[in-house]
Amino acid sequence: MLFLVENIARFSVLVPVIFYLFLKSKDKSLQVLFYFLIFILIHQIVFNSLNNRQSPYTNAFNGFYTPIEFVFTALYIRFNIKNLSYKRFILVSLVIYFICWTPFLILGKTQDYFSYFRAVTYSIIIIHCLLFFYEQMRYPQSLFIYTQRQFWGIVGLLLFAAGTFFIFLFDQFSNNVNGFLEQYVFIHAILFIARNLFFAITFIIKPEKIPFVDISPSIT
Amino acid sequence: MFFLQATNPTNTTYVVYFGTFGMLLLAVGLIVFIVFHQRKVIYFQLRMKKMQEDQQQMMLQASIQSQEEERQRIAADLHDDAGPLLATVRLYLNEGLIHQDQGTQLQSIYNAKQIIDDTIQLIRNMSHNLIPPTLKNFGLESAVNDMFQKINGSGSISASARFHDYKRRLKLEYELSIFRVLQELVNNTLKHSHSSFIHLTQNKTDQYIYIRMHHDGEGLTQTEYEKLRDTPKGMGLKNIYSRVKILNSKILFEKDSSNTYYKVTIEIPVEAML
Repeated sequence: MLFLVENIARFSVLVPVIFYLFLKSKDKSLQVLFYFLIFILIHQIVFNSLNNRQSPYTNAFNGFYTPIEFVFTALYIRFNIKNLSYKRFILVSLVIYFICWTPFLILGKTQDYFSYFRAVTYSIIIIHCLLFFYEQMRYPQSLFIYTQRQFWGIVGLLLFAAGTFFIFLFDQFSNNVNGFLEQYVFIHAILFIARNLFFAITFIIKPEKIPFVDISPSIT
Repeated sequence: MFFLQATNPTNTTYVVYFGTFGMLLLAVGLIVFIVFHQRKVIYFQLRMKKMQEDQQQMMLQASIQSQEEERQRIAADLHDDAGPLLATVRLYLNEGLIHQDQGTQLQSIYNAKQIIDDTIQLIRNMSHNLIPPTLKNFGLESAVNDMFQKINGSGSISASARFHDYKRRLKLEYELSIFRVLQELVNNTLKHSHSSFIHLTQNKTDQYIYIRMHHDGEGLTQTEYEKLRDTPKGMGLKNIYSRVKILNSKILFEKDSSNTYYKVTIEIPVEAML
C-alpha cells in the first residue's frame, strides 16, 4: 500500500507538467510553477540515484531542496499578488530567510536542524499564502475566487505546507520512533499527490476573459 | 521547541496524525471561509456599484428635467410674450398703413417702435436669466451682491455678502455653477426657512475656497439634505448635488454650534479652477 502511494506520488508530478506542456502559457507565475515541477522531477531522479548508491552526499543534496522550493513558492505567490507592500514583504522575507539560514545550511547539517528548518520554511510559506488570500478578501478580482487559476495553485501550496508541517517538525524523531518513517512517507505522499493535482487544476483552468470591474480604490 | 523535547516518542505517531489533521482542517476551514467571505465582499461591492449607478441615473434625470424645464420656460416666454408683441407690431405695420394719413402713420410707427423696445427688453431679460451679465462681466462677487440687492429691495428679508479674498476670478463656467448653487440655496431659504436674514461669506486658503451661507430660519442638516436629495421630489437639491459634484467640491449642511443659525458650506478646490 505504502509502496503504491509512494510511487503514485512520484509519478503525479508528471500530470501538471504534461498539462503545462499542452497549455504553453506565457504567464510568468505558471512558468515559475512549471520550473518548480521540473526541479522536483530532477531532484527526485538525482536523490534516488544518490540514495541507491548510498552516496555520502545524499543528505547534503537533500538539504538544498527546501530553500530552492521556498524560492519557487515565494516567487509564485509574489507573481500572483498585486499589492506592492505584500510583494515587498515576500521579497524581504526571502532575503532574510537566506541571510539567516545560509550559515546554518553550510555548518549545521544535523537531522534536528533539517527538521526545524523545514518547519520554519513551511510556516513562512503558509504566511505568504495567507497574504494572497487576505488580498483576495479585501480586493476581490472575480465573482467566484475559485474561477481564478492562481487560487488553486495557492490552495495546493497551503494544504501541502499545513499538512506536512507536523511531519517535518517531528522528523527529528524518525530514527527513534517505530513506524514514524512509514507515517512520514504516507502523509507526505498523499499531500504531494494533492498538491500536484491542484497544480494541474491551475494549468487547466482558463483565465477569465472579462475581468471583474472593481470599484475599490487602487491597491498598487 | 520545548514541547517537542517533552513529547514522549511513543506518542509521536498520534501527535503527528492529530497535528496534521488539525492543520489540514484549519487550512480547509480558512479556504472555505475565504471563498464565502470573498463572495460576500463581491456582492456588497456590486450592490454599492448599483446604488452609485442608480444615483447617477437620478442625477442625470434631474439634470435632463431641469434642462427641459428651462427650455419650456424659454419657449413659454417666447410664445406668450415675444410672439404677441411681434404680432402686434405686424398689425401696426400692415399694408394698409400707406393708405392712412400721415398722423395715423406716425402714431402707428411710434407704437410699433414702443412694442419693439419692449420686445428687446424682454429678450434681454430672458438672456440675463440664462447667464447674468453681471456675473459674466464682473464676476461672482458682483453677481451675488446684485442678487442680494434685489432681495433686499423686496423689504421682507435682509441679505448681505462679504467676499474676503476673491481677487482672482475663477473660470466663468465654474462661477456660473457656483452662482446657480447659491441661487438655489437662496431660493430655498426664501421659500422654506422663514428667516429674517441671509448672510454669505467667502474665504480662501491655499487649497480651497469656502463659501458659507447663514440664515436664522429653519434649515437642513446634512442627513436631511441627503435624505431629501434622494427622494423624487428634491429636484433643486439634486441639481445642487450634481453641480457640486461637477465642481469636484463638497457641500455641508449643518446647524451652527450655537443652535441659532443654519449654515451651508461649499468647499471648492482652488487648483481645479484657476
